[in-house]
Amino acid sequence: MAKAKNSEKLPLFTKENFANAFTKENVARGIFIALAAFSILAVFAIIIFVLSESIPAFKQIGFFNFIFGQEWVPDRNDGVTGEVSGSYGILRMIVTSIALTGLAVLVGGILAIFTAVFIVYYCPKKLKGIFNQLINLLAGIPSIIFGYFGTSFLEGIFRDVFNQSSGVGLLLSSTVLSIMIVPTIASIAKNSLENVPMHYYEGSLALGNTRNQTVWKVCVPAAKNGIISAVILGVGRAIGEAMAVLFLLGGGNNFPSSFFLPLKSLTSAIISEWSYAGGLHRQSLIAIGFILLIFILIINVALWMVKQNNAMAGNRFFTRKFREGEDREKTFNYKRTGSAQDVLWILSIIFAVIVVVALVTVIVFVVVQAFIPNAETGEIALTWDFLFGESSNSDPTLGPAMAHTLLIILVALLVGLPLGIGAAIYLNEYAKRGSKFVKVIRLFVDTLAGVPSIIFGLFGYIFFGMYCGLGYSLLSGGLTMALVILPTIIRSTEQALSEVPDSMREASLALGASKVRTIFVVVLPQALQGIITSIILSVGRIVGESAALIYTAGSAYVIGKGGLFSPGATFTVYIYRFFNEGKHYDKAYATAFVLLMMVVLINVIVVVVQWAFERDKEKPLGITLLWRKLTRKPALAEAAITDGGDFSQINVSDQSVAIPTDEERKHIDLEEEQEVKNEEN
Amino acid sequence: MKKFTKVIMSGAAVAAIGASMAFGLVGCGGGDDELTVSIEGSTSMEDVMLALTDAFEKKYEAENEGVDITFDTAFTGSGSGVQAATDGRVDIGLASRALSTEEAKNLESKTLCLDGISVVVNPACTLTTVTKTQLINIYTKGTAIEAEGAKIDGAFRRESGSGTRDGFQEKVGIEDKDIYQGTGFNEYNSTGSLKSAIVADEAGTKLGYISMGSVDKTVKALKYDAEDGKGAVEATKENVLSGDYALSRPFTICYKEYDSLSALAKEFIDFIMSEEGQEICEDEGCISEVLHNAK
Repeated sequence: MAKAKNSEKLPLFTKENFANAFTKENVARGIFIALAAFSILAVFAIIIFVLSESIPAFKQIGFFNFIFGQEWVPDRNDGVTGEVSGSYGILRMIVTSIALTGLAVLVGGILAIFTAVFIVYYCPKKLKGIFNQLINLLAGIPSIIFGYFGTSFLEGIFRDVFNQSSGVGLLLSSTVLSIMIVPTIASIAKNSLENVPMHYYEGSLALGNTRNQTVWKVCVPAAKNGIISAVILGVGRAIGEAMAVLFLLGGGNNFPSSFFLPLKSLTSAIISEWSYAGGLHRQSLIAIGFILLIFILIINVALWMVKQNNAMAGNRFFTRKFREGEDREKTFNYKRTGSAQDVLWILSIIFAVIVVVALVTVIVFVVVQAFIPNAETGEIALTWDFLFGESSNSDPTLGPAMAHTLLIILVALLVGLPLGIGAAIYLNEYAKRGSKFVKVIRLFVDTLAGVPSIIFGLFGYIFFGMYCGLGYSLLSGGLTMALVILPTIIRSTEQALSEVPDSMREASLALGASKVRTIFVVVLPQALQGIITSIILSVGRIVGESAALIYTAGSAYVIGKGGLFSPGATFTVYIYRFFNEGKHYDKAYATAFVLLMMVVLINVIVVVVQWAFERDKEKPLGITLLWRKLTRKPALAEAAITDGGDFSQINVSDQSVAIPTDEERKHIDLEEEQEVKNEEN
Repeated sequence: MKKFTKVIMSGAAVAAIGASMAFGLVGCGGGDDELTVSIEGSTSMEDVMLALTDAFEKKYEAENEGVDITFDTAFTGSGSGVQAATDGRVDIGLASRALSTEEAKNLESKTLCLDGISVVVNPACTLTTVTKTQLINIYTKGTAIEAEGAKIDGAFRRESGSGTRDGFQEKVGIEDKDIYQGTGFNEYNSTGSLKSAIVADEAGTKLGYISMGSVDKTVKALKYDAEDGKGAVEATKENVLSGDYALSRPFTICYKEYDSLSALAKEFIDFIMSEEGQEICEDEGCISEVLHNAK
């Protein structure tokens, strides 16, 4: 301390000061800050690059003509400069996107919230795990599969049932989209319901309310902030979805005045017209992307405000409105002694069943289609040769798809993991809780998570493809995907880090280990489960991605000689190409089947990993100990042993005395309640 | 001291971001050598282009022993291909349509071959012939075609910018801005998705147009009457070449300047325009004007 005081009198830039400042600790801290700040950089880069490419279009067309113009008649002779002879107005697309999102979120939101309530409060315990897995599986199904399910299966049914000339349009696309956003909304609504303190539930029961009254009048309102966040996230997911709605909207530039009019949304216009567009047409498609990005940013600000409300438990606009509504309903409902809640209870079961039926239908459809023999050759496309044989352009096989997918995963993880883990370490280990910088970083991480994949695709095309000169290449695709998976990695690593007990850090520091060493040797190994889970989830995201990869990694069927610099199609892009070429429908379904099996496999791996780690926590013999053996520095190990303390023991004793959290208690209580019920019956 | 540390740390943070960016940029930028020809463009030209590159590779490597040449191909769309050629990202761009006046300013181009466009319906439909007026009316006003015991009440089209659509509308005489967009008049962004929509239309009440090379048993190609006195003409190669069948579009290759291309790229262009190359185009279902003129 005395030394520090002395040095204050000296000039700032001295050799000694530099030597002091560049300690391992400070350098590490600086690096972690930089990694954490990367999300901010990424979001700004996306906004700036997409905007910079949109400016020519805004200048040529005029910003207001573009937004409020109704005619969309691109002329391919329109250049980035000079006269404009086509019409570029996107008002109808904007209205379509809003109507589509509104309908999908209305239907999907109701389905999802009821399903979430069902899972948390009504689902028999044995089914609960299965139900959670089904929701995860639904989340993992690539949007391109939903798209083809809609055109090949639902379209015909809609056409016949509603006796229309064509089944595509608002009704078909919002139906499919509402199923697609169920997992997004349900998983977050479920989390917030599970976080409702157990004494709310118990207190309500103790006051003589029925279980249904308790659930719908006490627990659900208590989780409303989380449910609102979930719905807003669902809005973001729905408005950004491109691949699925492309095939279902029909492609007419109309206002959504009827359920069966062909329509164009913001996203479907981009993805449908991109490949042949040139000159001003292409610039205006990027400008559509920018308008979409603005929508997404607005949604994120709304989400942020809801979360702020939550943190303050305050009542700005959102909460106050809801309270008023509640008061009015209270008097009304009590007269009818909870009959409304009983109806809601039945509805929650029905809606949960609908979600499962929808999921099963999609899966059965893909499986059946994959095993229908080709009409001409009478053979099934799914052969050993198709899976592993040598690929050529005339006779493509899935071998290259596997190689391309693996390379993209490799690049994305090599770039994304250090960035994500570093950012998570900063947020959890260094930053002061609640500091402004942390809030800003969180806001940007959330924003990045909400950016639709088609925007990532456009950004990747502009930045990696054009500015870096990578063109269509696996490297460009991998780098784009690194940005896509970054939020997943940051969140789940941060979650895992925050679950490591503070006593372990304190013990390590007390033994004389430095902070950096504590983080890498003590804390990170404990968070291994979170990191591995985030890796698997990232792999799932990459495997199912299509819109972001078509524009960045290209669509080659063969492995290029340029390695990472050559273009390559992943499984989803394969399906897209097979369908578009119109020659290999059977191969498209075979690929979809393989993709579906991979998604199932990834889900199973997540479950197995979590199970293995949970078991490991009870009896720390397997993975954790092995990891410690491999990573522990001898000095620290000796220190620990001579001190008579092993970290595993600290861990165990720490957990055994830990007071059960609200969530755990609720589980225990629900189980007891179930048992009581069973006895009564 | 604390203040100093903060200054240094934020400096380090900025430096780290800068370094990572620089690293990223160094990582970017692929190697370009004399033994690679890069091609990007139209998805419709994929089959013919790959047949040409395969044949050229075989021939070149047989003539120059021990030399290994590569084609970097990306079939992303005419717009992307022309853009990439204009930006100099690829040697050759492919467009399944004529270049626009704007595009032609910066590029040299050649017509590789022609591609016929067939008007198709579901095989269940009894219609066999369609006239120019019928097509104009259904595509611009939504007027149903009622003839030969069939009723066509919807017409599918490709997305704006598509070479097939440009070729079709130009030859029939339909303007983009007049397109009728009611129920049953859907837009598809690929040959495959339009074709599968026609296949799914088992009642036989829709028509659409696709590349002649993609017509197979699952759809039925209609005869087209251009109302120029030639009557209803079948959609065949011969009729396209003779000019009797009016619906076709050019497959175009474009590049910055022939003289500034690598020796290999020049040789490749010469090869595909040669008789040998043109025969390969014919084998792939395209229609060669070069061969036709030579005869």
